[in-house]
Amino acid sequence: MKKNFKYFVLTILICTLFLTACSGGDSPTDSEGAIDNEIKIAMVLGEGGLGDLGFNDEAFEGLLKAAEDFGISYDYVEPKSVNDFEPQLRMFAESGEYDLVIAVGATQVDAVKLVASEFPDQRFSIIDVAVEGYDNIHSSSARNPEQHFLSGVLSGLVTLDDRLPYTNEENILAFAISIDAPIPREAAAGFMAGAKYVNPDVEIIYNFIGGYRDPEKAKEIALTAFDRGADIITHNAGASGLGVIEAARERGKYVIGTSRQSADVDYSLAVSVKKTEQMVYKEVESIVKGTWQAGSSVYGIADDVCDYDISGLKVEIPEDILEIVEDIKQEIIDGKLELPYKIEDVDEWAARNQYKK
Amino acid sequence: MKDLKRKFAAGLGSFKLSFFALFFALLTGAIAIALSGYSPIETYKAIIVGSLGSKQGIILSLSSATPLIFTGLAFATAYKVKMINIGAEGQLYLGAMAGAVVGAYITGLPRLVHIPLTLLSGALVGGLIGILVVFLKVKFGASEIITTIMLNEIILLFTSYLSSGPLKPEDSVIPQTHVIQETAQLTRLAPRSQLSSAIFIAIAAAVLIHILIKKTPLGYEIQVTGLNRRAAETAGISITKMYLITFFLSGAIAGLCGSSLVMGVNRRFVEGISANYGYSGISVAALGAYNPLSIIFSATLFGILKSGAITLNRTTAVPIEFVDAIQAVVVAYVAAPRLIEAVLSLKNKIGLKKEKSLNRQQNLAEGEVIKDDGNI
Repeated sequence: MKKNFKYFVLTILICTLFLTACSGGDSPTDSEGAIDNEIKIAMVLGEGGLGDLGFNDEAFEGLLKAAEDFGISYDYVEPKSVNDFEPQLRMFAESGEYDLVIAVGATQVDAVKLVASEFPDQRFSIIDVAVEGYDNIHSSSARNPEQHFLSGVLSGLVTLDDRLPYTNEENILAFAISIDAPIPREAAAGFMAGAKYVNPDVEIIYNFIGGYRDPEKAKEIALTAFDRGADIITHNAGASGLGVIEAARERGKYVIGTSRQSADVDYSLAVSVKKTEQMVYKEVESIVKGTWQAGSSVYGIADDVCDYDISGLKVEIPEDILEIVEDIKQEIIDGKLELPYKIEDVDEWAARNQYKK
Repeated sequence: MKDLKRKFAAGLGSFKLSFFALFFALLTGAIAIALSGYSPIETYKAIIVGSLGSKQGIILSLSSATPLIFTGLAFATAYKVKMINIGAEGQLYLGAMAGAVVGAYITGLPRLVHIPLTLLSGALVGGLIGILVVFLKVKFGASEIITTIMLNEIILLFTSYLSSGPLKPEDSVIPQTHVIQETAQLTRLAPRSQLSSAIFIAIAAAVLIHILIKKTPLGYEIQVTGLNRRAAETAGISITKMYLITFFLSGAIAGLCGSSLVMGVNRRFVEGISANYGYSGISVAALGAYNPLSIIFSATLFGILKSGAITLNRTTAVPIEFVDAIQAVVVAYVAAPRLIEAVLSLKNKIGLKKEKSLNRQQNLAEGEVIKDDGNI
């Protein structure tokens, strides 16, 4: 018996060596693209890394698309914790090989500022937060209210409409806010402003889930909102949103999420998109074109960074409603509307701004 | 031959056990990496080159090892009286929060006072949590395993509340506290690195715990309690007192880890300040055979793996989760000493006489271990 075991160990060893030999030829790096092309980009993803069906995946998608379009090469890392940002950013900067180091997510602000001051010749871009006052940092962020504004308009119109199967008599909407922090609050303010812009009497119930990975609690909040009469609920809570979608399915109500991948084709009315991939793409593009500059860019609907998205969803929204939404979108692009950033300011804003056809 | 038998009868030395556990873990890791279609040799090479091949790599290894020395030591200290402290993660968080508050809001102190004060504030809150756990155990019979796990949750949520609510700076978009005063910041030992003088504090803590356990009467009582609780009680040792002392120290060391992270690495409390250091500490302690001095080395080893993983992530396509997996497998092997004994005994079996070997084989087949055989 022991002999057998010995053979077993030996066999495994041999297999290991064999496989080693076989797989030795695998490309050992993520770098793609032509070697003669000089441009090389580094990306430090946010905590959690790839496979989140959301923010990180979108950022990476932007990098991939840029790599394809411009023939640049790239390397990326997936930090395991907030303590990894600093060494990983520094590792890229230290190598001196990269034209640009892209940091994905607001949690990297401190690390980027520190490493950028250590390596004044290395260019950094940070996505999703505004940073100013550094000669080698460019930041790209979105106007948070604009991400949810058009979905708000859509919801405000749909809840009044009886042509859609899952709407009810009540004029009530709901927003399951991820956490009680400025950015999520701004997102909610945008949604509320959108709804009240076309439907001033609408009531919007909102509640804080308290986390991005708590679908159970998110579901409870969604169910409560439905029981109080809401027929459309929206959220901005990442993986917690899965609970909101489940609640919508259970009660036969509409949901608006922020991630195209996790949308439910039958119950998702739309998706409030913030095109992280666009922001990343623009960063790479500016490097390729030589227009990259330190400073801060804030994008919105007019820059095709914030939008509502109904592609691939099965809910049939009447054409006349979509026309109004598109009309309002154009108003924003033309700079006719300035959105509120605070939930407290929405009512006052709506009193001043009403959609007139 | 008889000597050999005796050796086996005595079981494996803890060093040998750790060594083979690590060896088998790396082997298992190699197999897993190979089965996933990557080259184990390339991977391990990348880890070693990344962590030890340059000055920056070595510094990163040491800075990654620092929190693990603390948390490994925290687990081992409680384990001296056979108490399981799963709560290092929570104690670390609370220590970090205490350090962040004392470091940021107390001003005008000289460095010489502010630094120890901030460090100790972390140790104190961590230690108090330890006391609370023992209180619940002794008064109400609550298992320390359960209470420490539950307290982790409570503390994590509490610190999360503080950092996203009352203690959050106005202009911050993420949950964190204010940057601590300069006078509370630990010196960074190398430019462009996270390595701070916290590593000396960690090593000093390990040495002090070692001396306490091995060289003092109190340490002797702790050891006796760990070996046999009933005997200790009979000998007049107060078990409750032993629990209180060890668990206070255990919690204090974990809390110290938290405050030193704030003071040396992040300069403020941020959500996710611990990369599961509290739980990794269990692996570190197990690999170091719960010996405070060995823990310095096992933590360094994990630090090397960690810093190698960071480089690995940049230079190869191998998912760094493999490094986590290897660390987990190490623990599995350390926790299963008999498995390693069984594998190792194969080598020595061959020289033995046939009938004896047969006898042993039977024993093994019946699920017995070599140890028992040696006693015949």
